[in-house]
Amino acid sequence: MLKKVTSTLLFLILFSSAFSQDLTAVEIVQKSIDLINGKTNQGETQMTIVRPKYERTIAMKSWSYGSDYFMIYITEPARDKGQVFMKREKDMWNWMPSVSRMIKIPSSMMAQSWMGSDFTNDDLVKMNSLEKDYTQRLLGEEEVGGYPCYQIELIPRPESAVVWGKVVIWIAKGEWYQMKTEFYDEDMEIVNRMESSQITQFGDRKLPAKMVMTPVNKKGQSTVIITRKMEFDVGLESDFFSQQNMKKVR
Amino acid sequence: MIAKLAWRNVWRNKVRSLVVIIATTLGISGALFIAALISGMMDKWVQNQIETELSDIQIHQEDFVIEEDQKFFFEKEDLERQLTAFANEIKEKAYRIKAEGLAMSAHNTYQVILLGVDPDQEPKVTNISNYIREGAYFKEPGRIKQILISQKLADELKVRMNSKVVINLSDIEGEIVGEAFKVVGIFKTSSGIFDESHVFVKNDEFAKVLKMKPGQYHELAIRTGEEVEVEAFQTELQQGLDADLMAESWIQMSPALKMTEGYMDTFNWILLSVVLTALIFGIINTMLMVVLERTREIGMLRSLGLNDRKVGLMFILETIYLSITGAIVGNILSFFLINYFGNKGIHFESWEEGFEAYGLQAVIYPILELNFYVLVTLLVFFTGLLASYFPVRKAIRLDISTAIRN
Repeated sequence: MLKKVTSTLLFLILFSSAFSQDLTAVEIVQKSIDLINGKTNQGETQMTIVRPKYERTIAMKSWSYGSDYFMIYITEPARDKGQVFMKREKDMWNWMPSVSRMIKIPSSMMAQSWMGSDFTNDDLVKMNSLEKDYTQRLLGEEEVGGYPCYQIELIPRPESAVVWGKVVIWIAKGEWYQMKTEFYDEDMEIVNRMESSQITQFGDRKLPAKMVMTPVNKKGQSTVIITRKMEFDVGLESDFFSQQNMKKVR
Repeated sequence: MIAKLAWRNVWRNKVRSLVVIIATTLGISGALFIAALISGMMDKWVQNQIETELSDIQIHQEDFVIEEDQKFFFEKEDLERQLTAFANEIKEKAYRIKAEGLAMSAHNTYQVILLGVDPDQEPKVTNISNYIREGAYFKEPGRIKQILISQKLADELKVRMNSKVVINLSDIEGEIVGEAFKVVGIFKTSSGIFDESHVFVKNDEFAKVLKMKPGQYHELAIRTGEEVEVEAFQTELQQGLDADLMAESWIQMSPALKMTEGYMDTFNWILLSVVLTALIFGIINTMLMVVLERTREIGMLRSLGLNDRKVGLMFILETIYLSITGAIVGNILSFFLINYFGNKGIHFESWEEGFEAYGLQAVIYPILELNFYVLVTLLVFFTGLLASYFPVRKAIRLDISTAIRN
């Protein structure tokens, strides 16, 4: 009898530990998102837009609260200095101090490129709920940029408002960096590739400092984002993200 | 007697007269044919825009006309009640939900106008259903909402039949919503501009996306009966509607369309006057030659007692005969040409793309109103009269004694 109980217990312990080690695709993705966002964060970033004939660098300060609120203050170039972008839940605003105008970015402008980069306004606003819009599957493991990674495939549900045919993410094992992301169209042809590198210590955590977004079919075109400074859990409240504050932040 | 003399004089130098007559014939029939071509093109263009896009009359909320915001809709029930008085004039009508949005695929994003239509009623008003190249004009409702897009948009977005297109737009509360639609049909009209910017969805499915209730619409498109004068009917209709509703005829919705029609008329007259001016010089030249040739004869006639007026009249008539003969032959020739091609159509398939970029059809059926022929003939008559001035002056001013001795 006792023997039986012990063996059952042993089995249970073994089973549960095995279970806890084998993370599901959903959990892996969630961990990587938590790592990037924190509860709140504040940082300084530099974005370089690379085009075949020119390059343009924009520097900015950013504040964010969860994935629903963020504010971006442009510090460079001088021409755009002082412009503020704010997202509150589903809406996005733009404050232009040069003309003293507050604009709510209308839906018709959401798909336009943000500040001329390879990101659209929509990319900034819409965080498709990963669980609601995609089915997630662990494909296997692969090394990217010197880190062993989980390779996870996200397939959008047919009725979800997602343009991609699939998205594949490589997430570093144990570190949870999103090392690489590939976006495919419905014919499973690759459209965009995002790669991360330069793992750096930011506050209490390590993150890739450099992200490169490359539209695969557009030669000589890419957007490079370099994080200069980033602090997490800085004690921002959601009321920080107001139109009044947009005019005040520096 | 003078008239007969003048007519005979025309045929004294057959080759020279024929050259002038043929030149006039070609000039006039060419100008008429081009005018007919342009009228045919414009007619078709206007008709196309009415049939695919504008319809004869549209009714909207007044605010919707000023600012196309999804929140300015009307209730079908209310409007129907107001329209009962006009049942005779209204041949067909279709209610629509209309909103601007973004059509997105993995590759591209395009700003489009979405029209939520009733698949049964809409084909009676607009002819998009005739332009379906692939798929169908909507299918039985399925799990995913359905969308019709143009070939052009499909190419831009790099999607095809059964692909998913994501539409982003604001609902009536101003919230941004994203919705997945499946391509069930691909159309191609003759207007590239229209194709690029319009997509069609089912109105019941679209209403849900915009959070509108059944029976709420933005637009009513009306086709009137053949005999109804659209502009007059629009005025009448407007008076019968509530103050917050606005009826607009296609002329009001697209003043440019009407204006272009006017421009083309002007262009036709300019073309004709260029041809006639060229003719005047040709005729003057020929007639001066005639006078030079017949110096002795003129001197003789005048010394025999034919007065200046009669000599003048003779040359005036000769000039008019010369030009009017060409005009009449030209008229007849172009009349048959225009009728022949008016039935058969002229095919410009090799330039199809260019034509369609302007919303024109590549097959043109030339037409010309009858009064245009009459006017042209009259104009040629006056041209002849004008051209006769110089030869007549020369003939009358001849010194008789030197003329005879010449």
